[in-house]
Amino acid sequence: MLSSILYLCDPTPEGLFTVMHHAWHSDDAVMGIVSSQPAQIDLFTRVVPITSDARAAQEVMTLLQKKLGMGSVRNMALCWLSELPGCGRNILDYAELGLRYGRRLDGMEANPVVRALHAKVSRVTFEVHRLSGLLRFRSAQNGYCATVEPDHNILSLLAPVFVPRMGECRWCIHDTRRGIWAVYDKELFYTDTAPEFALARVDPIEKLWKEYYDTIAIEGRFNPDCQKRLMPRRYWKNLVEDPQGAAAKYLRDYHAAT
Amino acid sequence: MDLMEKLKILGDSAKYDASCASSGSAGRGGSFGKTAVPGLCHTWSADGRCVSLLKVLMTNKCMYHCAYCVNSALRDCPRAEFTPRELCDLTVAFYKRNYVEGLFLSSGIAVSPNRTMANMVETVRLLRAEGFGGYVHMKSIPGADRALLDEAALLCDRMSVNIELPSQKSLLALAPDKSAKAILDPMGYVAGQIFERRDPRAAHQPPPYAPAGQSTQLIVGATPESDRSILRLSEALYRKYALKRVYFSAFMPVVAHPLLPGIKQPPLLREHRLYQADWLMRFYGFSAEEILDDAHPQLDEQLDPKCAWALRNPQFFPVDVATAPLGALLRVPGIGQISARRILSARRYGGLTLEDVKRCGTVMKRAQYFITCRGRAPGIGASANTLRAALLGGASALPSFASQVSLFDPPPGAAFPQLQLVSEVPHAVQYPVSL
Ligand code: SF4
Repeated sequence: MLSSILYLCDPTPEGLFTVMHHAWHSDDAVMGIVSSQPAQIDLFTRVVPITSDARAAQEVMTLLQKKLGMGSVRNMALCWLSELPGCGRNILDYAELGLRYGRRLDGMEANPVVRALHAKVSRVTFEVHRLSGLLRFRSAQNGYCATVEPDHNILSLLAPVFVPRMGECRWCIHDTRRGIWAVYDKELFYTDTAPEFALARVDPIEKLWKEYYDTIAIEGRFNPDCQKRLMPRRYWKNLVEDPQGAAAKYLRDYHAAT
Repeated sequence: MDLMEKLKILGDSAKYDASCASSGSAGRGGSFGKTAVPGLCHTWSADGRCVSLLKVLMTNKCMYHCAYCVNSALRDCPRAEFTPRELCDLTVAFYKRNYVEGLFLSSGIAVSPNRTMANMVETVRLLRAEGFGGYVHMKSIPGADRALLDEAALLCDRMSVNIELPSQKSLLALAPDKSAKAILDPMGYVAGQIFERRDPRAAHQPPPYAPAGQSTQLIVGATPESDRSILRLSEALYRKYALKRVYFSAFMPVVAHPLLPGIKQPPLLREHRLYQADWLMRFYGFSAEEILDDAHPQLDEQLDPKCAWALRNPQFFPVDVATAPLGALLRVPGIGQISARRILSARRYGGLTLEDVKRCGTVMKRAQYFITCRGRAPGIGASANTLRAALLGGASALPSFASQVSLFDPPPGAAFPQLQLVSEVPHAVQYPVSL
């Protein structure tokens, strides 16, 4: 049949590398890889679901690592976690180039495939960096609990950041968009159910932080546009402080003073 | 007075310090808390500034009379003081909720420099005793004993002393209780100690001593010094004291004083241009003298300093992107650290086209007037006036103050050619920097 294949697999790197194993062992034309059922497909596309297979994935990773180097394998995994449209196809093209050029791949900065993949990787690592700062732990029954709603599937990259930071207390991070939890209770693990300590409670420290936050803007430098550019609105709802309120309060004080 | 009141007063009076960076420390370990090498912003305040550290004063009960300062004894305002225990607990509570990377502790000078600094040191000692391994930045208090400086440097990641006024004359007039010597002395001492302890061959690595180095701040626009003298002073500070950062703070008239200009708005654009020039000195191999000379003592407000330099120095252009060394690429307007490295890397794999140069992240709107590529020279030959007009078109509007941390700290992982910073740090404290 004259059709091309769209592989459907789970959103983890293991899913991705399993699919690559399939793609390499099949003669069909591969259109791309997705981690959720596409809303629309045309007549000539066949969606083929693939179940993750640790051994197949490992085989592919070992091969790629040998030929392209660890950095490129990591880039593919990060690009996959971006969940951006076209990331699957981009990875396949990148891997193919890599098999041709080997370890020189990531130096080919002017190549459109390489540039496109690097751009997706940057978005992922940037969001990890950004959320490492913007994430807020709230005091829970017996530990701390945070809620995030990241654009990219970064929980597995974000949670390890907090292991050395939080010490021995219990904590969890909930990715509400994907319904997954990272939980730290003596060790870090991932689950799709809320841990039992994750019940928020009233925390007087939050009030101190809010007041502090409202105090620290300097008169004469008011610049809410800049504030928004550096801290996009979609991240605000999980903060403790209130950027909008702080800006409004600033303006009120300003008008009262002049 | 309750904690909320204290936090408001002591946060409010500390906010004029421009520095909030939490970068550059390898950290010292601890049972919780860790420093991030590239630094980390936790939120942005309504003025667009990155908030990385809990920035407060130990006390604002200052007995000195610096004319430009909100905490000066001359002012009538509410005063407060933290106890070391209060501040330690507050820092831990904020850190565990991921509000901040750590503590930035400054202070007014109450009772005596030693008493003040001892309280600050005690706060950090408590923090470290709790197991806190996060970032701490502490101001050295001019006039405090060296033993206290040592204690502080062994506990903190970064130390700093604000010079504030860029000349001896201005200091005398506006900060009558502090001499230039008292300000530079702790800076020179800590620089010397950092240098002495840095011995890569040592069998036992000594305990970290201010591992994130030192910084300072200069107020811009309160006194008549030119941009040129400010840049020259900064350059000298980088060279002689191996400072990690010199911050500029546009003068914000908070107190009226006959010797201070009666401006309404802080000179933010000037401050921004100085940061850009500082960036050129630190990461692009420019010297202060190249950026500004006798004929040009002030930075061009309309053009960024790199464009302004390029316009004044046509003899260096055009640069051939296919063959030019890194240093020459970095001097092209529109090519930054990242795009320059990408160009170097990309041209190893075949002839570069103009399209490739663009794909490497070059801003062609500016670069086109200064480069050639395979004999093609898209914008070369434009008249000086056209050039200026074209560059102005591409110049950004008043940029964000917050660029301080996000734009001006090197992107993580980038290998920058550091300036010739640390060759000669004074052992005995001299005053090679003339204020
Ligand atoms: S010593 Fe420091 S806090 Fe005191 S008035 Fe001078 S600048 Fe302000």
